[in-house]
Amino acid sequence: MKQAFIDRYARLTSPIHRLSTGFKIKFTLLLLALLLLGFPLLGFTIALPGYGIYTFLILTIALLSRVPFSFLLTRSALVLPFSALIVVVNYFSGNLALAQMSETLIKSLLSIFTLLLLTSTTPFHEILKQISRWKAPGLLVIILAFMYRYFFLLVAEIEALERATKMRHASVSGWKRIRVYANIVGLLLIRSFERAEKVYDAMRMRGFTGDLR
Amino acid sequence: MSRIQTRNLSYSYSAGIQALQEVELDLSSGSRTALVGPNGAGKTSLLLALAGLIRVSGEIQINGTLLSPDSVDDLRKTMSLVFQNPDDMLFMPTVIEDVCFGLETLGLNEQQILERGQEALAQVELEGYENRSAHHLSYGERRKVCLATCLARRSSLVLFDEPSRELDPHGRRNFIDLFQQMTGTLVLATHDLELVLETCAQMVLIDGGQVVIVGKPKAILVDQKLMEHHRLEVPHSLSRHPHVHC
Repeated sequence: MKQAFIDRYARLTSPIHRLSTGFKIKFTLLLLALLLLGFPLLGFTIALPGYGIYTFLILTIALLSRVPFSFLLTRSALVLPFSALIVVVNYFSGNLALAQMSETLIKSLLSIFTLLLLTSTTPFHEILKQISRWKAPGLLVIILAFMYRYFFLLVAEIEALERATKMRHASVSGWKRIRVYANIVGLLLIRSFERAEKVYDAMRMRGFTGDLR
Repeated sequence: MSRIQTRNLSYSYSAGIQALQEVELDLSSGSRTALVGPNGAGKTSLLLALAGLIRVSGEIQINGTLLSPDSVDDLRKTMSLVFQNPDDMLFMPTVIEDVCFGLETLGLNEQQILERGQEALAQVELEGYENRSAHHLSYGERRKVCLATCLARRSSLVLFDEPSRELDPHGRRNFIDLFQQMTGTLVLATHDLELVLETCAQMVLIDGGQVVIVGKPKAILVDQKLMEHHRLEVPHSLSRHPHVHC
């Protein structure tokens, strides 16, 4: 099974890893605010120098954190198809000009890279603890906790189903292959519902009645 | 400790399959009972019914209190259910948070909750695992954390669904040792007949949703005809003609 943890490198030792969780979250939020809103406020009429400085800053942090660049880049790139879809839809609906399209793509890539830096230098449960201390809504914290916990299981189930499929349908291609994968998605959905029911039962057994601390 | 009494307990799935049929049981407080039967016999359904997690027809009384929508929350404060799959039970970011989940409903303050959690982890030999994530642990360790969640609650009734499933011999032995140390009324649903012989004083043979026989494990499990009739087999330790696998 692949170790598909969101915070896979969060237990390395580096000057960035040693910083307090609260500081890292605040700094990340500041960086994101700067990236998404702040350049015009700082007087950059052309965004390019701003992006350059920003990129230099996060690359320096990445270097200091010793998190492999390949990991950060490949994971950041995962968001590109989704961003590209949004950009294209907005372009055709007349909401974005051609110049803004590339800017939106760069922003999404840099945002994800920044967030990955946070999750790769801080264990996820530490982030949850910190935002709980800051009085984040309990429902939000528990949804994030569940996402982290069950994302791993979902990946493991996808891998197991993929292996089972390969063992029995190695030669299947084209539409048949698409049909097989559609079935896998359906099966995962059903299993997720079933698991949700069982987890809810386990919570009820331990006194959960719908209120979160 | 909790006494369990059921009367005319029946349950069918939405597809119309009868999972339980007029189950009548009386398990004395402090007893250790194994629910044994082939796949689909109704063992898990019975456990879920006792935990009040499925709506059944008939009556369940726990320590004289009728299990009903009004009483179920209070009754659950005295019971625990260990699920078959630990991943269904462990959902918090760290081990200690999982073990302590729901303890505040027992009226404990934060300090007491933490103490209970750490004590339970020590009982299952997982000291130092407090801040680890459950999914970083091995299967056996996750099963131990599940057990710790029950120990922390100090439940007077603990229901186990296939507790030795997928455990290696050491993990299984570890579970048996912990089980032997536990107090309260313990009910386990299992296919592990050697485990039944070793840990339970009473056994309920269940098949097709019906109770076939209640009695001492050794007396029931040694009956080859009965076992074969219900798609089971005489455990190796009781068999006069050990099963030979070629």
